Amino acid sequence: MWLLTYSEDSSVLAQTPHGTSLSIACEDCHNTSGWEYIGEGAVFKHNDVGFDLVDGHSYVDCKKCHSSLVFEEAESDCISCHTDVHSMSVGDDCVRCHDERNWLVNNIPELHEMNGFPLLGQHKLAYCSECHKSESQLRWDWLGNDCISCHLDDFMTTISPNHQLSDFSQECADCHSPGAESWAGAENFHMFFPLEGKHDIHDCAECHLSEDYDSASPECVSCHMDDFLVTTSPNHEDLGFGTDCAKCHLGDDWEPALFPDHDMFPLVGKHDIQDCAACHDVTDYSNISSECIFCHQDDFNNTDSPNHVESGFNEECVLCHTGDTWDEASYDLHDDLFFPIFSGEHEDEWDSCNECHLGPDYSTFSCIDCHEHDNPSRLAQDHRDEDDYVYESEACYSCHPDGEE
Amino acid sequence: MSRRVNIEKTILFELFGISIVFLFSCFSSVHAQTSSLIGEVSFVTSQNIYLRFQSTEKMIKGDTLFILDEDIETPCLRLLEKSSVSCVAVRLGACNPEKGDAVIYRYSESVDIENEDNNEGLNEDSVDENPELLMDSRNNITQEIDGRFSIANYTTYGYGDSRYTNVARLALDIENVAGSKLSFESYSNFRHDVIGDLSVHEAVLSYDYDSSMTISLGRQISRRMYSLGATDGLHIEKRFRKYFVGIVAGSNPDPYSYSVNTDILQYGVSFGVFHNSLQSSTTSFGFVDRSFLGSTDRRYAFLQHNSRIGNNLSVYSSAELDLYDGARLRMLYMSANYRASSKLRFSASINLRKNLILYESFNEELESLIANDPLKSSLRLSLSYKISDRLYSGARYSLRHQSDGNNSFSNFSGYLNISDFLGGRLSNNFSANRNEYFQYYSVSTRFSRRFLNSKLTVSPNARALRYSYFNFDVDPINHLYFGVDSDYYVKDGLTLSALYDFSSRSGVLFHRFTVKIIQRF
Repeated sequence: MWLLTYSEDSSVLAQTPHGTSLSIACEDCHNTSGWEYIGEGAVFKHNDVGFDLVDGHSYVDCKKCHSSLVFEEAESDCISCHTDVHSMSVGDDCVRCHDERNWLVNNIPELHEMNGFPLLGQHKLAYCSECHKSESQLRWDWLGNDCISCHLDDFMTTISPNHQLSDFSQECADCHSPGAESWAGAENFHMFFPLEGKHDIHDCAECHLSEDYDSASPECVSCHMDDFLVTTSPNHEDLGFGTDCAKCHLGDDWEPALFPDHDMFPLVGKHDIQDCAACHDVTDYSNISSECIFCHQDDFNNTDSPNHVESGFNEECVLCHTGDTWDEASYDLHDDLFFPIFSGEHEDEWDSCNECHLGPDYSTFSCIDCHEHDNPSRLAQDHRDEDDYVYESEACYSCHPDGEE
Repeated sequence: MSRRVNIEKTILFELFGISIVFLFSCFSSVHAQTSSLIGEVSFVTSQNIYLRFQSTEKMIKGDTLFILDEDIETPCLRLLEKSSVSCVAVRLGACNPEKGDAVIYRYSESVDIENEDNNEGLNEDSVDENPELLMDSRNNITQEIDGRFSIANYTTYGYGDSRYTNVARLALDIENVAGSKLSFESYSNFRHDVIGDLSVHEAVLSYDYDSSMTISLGRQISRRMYSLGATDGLHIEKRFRKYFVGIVAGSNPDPYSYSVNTDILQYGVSFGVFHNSLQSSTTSFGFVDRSFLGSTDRRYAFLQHNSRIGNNLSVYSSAELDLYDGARLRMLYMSANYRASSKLRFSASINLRKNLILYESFNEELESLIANDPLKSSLRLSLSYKISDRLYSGARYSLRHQSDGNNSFSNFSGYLNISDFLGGRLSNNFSANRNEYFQYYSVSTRFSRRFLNSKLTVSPNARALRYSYFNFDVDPINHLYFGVDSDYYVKDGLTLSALYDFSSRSGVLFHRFTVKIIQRF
């Protein structure tokens, strides 16, 4: 037996009919009985050269691929041995779809997934020929994954609703889920107008009054104008409510409703209340004023610290009450309207209102109870040049309205 | 289509029938004839007798060999082993031949009566010792039948409904029919789902006029221009050492029924060059003209190339350039496979496509075909790496794009296979995909093991997919598959296959059954 080497000078090599690349010992494939290939007893394994002989390839006569004894001349690409019956529609790499067992494919779902169109829903039941319409049944023309390339006829012939007339999108998946059992009741159906709550209706004609579904406006009032007009509590029309129902009616029913655009009177802070009747006469929503005192007259009247009525406070509550609670009150207008306490001599000289306003009636005040003015004789001495001097707070104010000396 | 050509299906059945009749006629025209080979004793030992013949191809181990004893053929030896030209035999009884004695081997040979004369020139003496010539001579004179008949049923059940498709295929290749220069090749496919459809993809009779020219008649897929598909008619190829010229003339199969339609005439010419001695690597280019009822349907130039560069790089390419109504690149496909080592391989391919426009046949759709003619393109990259004798891994990436922005798709996948796992093979795959509507991930595992002397292969498998839709707000959807498939090699090329799997998605079950019977011959 010869031992083959790479050396081209080798006389041994010259005797081999298998070309220059096969560098294995003769006895790996032959024995002393002759030059027949010994088959299963051979040391040489075909997968050593990177081409496994499994299944169908293991049944094939060697000569089908190796038409000469120079084995390296056999090509390993599929198309060198196998006729392309697909008219070059899918390239030359057979193993993308086929395996060595036979040409009939098993992995049809996987093939579709690998090519961008997983077989979901009814597509699992589709016949190949329903989508792949090439004349030979074996030419796999590039279909793409857009629904309309197969379903254009469905689109054009659907009359309930009439997709074409309604100018529907040809992106079927905008409404229909590719994984749905049928066109109707698909998971993605009507997502541009969710059919939820009271809208979970199955009779399209309740809203779509003609074949032209595009004529149905997504505006609520296109279907609910009657509801708008007949509603009396509150009377939407009289109050000039907008017709965008969804601004107030966010739930599954008309009630409860919100009024997020209560712009004429922002519902914030303590006014963030959900019960309209707390402010409105529900028989006449127009019978209301945005003035605070309209609702808070009782609060105004009953407040005794300070007593707003006796103090002659302005009924414009927000002049003092600017925070979320009544207690968060300030009276920045005091300087302009009455007496400067946030500026001038009295700035930062007081801590609470009742240092000057000794009673609940804030219309009264005291100047002479202040420690600087609580000595009548000294003040009288200081005012000895004033003819009409009296030791009274009103008199102090009349001569010193801005608190200056 | 208003001009839909309705060719009778019977033509197809007739063609299919002709194939079958032809096959049987091949066998029926064959009879048995006794022939003999004469060799001589080359060496004698106490145990064995060594013999030498010009060729031992037709000799069968265990057969008897004769010597001439006073001009009478006498049984003398029994054949033990043989190589291409040498034999080892043992004595029968008291026979004791000597070195140099003539030995006769008789055998029965099937001979085509009609072509018997053609075979006269082929005798053992004409066979050269050169192994390549030896192989060539064998191919030239020996009828070889290679075929496959398969039937399959694909059934899917779900949503309370079931769909089935039955498929029957016959592939038959007879080279050198009865030792003649005629060869026959056919491939037919019958599919029955809603209706039955028989498609004869190939049924062609070829005649090797001489070693450099082949003339074929029938429906043939040209190996020199695959993208053309099949043509019914005459195909001629003439080879001049490194170059060849091909002519095809006839009709194109009907675009709707795939039957013969002589209204669609087609002719083409190709030129090419062989890149290797086996003529398996070629570059071919040519022109094709197709007409419908006399008006040009399509006219284009094509190029097809496959070759190996060095020992490790193989390339393939195919292109079509429409020449009717201006030049337009209709198709370009290129692929390359590079074997960096016995463990590492790379491959890449690009694919560019535009609509196949048949100006006359698709006349009514012409406007929309031309208006909607985006360039579709794809890129594929892959590598495989053999980590060890047991571990195989690989990764692939593919990308699809369309010039109008539709139909985009990307796929990345990887695999890790263990070739010796619990006595079988374990395959694990992962893929991440994204198309126009959703992205989805897939994880699968498959275990294959052989039983009964490797005759039975059983492969349980499982797969999980997870979909996330882009355009509507639902939770990701999980899709599970469980199944098993099996192949049983009965004997003599007969294989039975069965597959069952079921899938579950949101509580909805689908069942899939596939049964196949495949007979190779």
